[in-house]
Amino acid sequence: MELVASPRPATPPPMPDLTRLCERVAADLRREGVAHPVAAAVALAARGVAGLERDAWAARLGLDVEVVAACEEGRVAFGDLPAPIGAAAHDAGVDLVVLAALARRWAGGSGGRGGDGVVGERPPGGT
Amino acid sequence: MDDMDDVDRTRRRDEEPERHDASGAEAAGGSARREQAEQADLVRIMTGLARGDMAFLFTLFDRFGDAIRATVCRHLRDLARPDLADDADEVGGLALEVCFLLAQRAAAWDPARGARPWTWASAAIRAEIARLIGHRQVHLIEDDTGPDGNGDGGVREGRLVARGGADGEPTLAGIPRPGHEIDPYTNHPLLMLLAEAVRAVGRERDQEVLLEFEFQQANGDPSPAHTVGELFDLRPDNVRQIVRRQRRRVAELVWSDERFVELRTVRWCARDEAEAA
Repeated sequence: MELVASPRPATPPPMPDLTRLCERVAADLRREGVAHPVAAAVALAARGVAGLERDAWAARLGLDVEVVAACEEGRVAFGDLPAPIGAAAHDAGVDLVVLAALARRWAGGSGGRGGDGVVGERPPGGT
Repeated sequence: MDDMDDVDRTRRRDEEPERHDASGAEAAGGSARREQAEQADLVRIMTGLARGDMAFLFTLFDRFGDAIRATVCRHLRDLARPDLADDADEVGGLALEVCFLLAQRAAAWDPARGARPWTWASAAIRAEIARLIGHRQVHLIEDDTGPDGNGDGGVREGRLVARGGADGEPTLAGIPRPGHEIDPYTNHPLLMLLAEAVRAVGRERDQEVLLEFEFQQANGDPSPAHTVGELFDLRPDNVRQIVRRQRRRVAELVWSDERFVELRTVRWCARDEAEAA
């Protein structure tokens, strides 16, 4: 089922704000002890901008809903996010390069806990 | 998907009036349908947020970010901060915080009442914005000069200062009230004494109301009684009454108890306040 039926704004919100929202959500998730908070925030952003429930979103991307759930719950490292999720986040206006840097910084600064395992990895989605 | 298709058809008709020779009535009907579709979106988004699905936070921001930014701007201007209202970066950051606030309150939003979430939560949003932009440093005791007007009475100033938490977020913890702390570098003995005096009189709720009212007022909130009333579930006139009563009590204590003699030079505890008690 489509979540949102209203017309999208003609001009998407400025990219920095959506990326900032990802950072803000990731910070909350990190405080909660989520293993890969930045990856989770990116996965949530991708679905949120699409405006779909999780099962419909998984079907659209051709992924198992369990895989999508694992990504959104922070059980998948940033660099291991499925390419369709990364691509969707990129298309939505999320700056994956900025977020990859954040994930890398957190991974390095916390000895791995609360990081995203992206050292040496590219952002998902081929960007 | 059916809903989406309906809306798409509606939207196409709205956006291509030349194909339909839309009359004024039809245009009005299209507008109404669009509003209905947006309302349905909001219901879905707020329902999702209420059950904890944080993806809907992004949906809210993506679909209604402009309206939320406009709300932030309006509150900033109401709070006498047009400088911040003109700062897109500041407005954007505050809009994100408003989205989080709405997410936290999503379960309580009732679409049947007709107000959009950011209108429904207007008072809470204003209080949150005021907290974020203005409570980092607030004068609790005004400067006070001596009888000659040259400050011989000493500068009676203390400031209640928000202190950043471990993650840098402003958390106000400790004295003189739960959630607030006297910052060590502005830790004026008079402020400690005033905190003690405030804590010595009245009910705990009334103490909180007084302090919150002073915070809001010092922060430039043009309607502190409304803001505080929302926080404490009180009518604005009740808030004003409590503030008057508490200030009188504090002043009365200061002028009747020698422990607080130092506060008698502070305008906050003026003799006329005590005499009015």
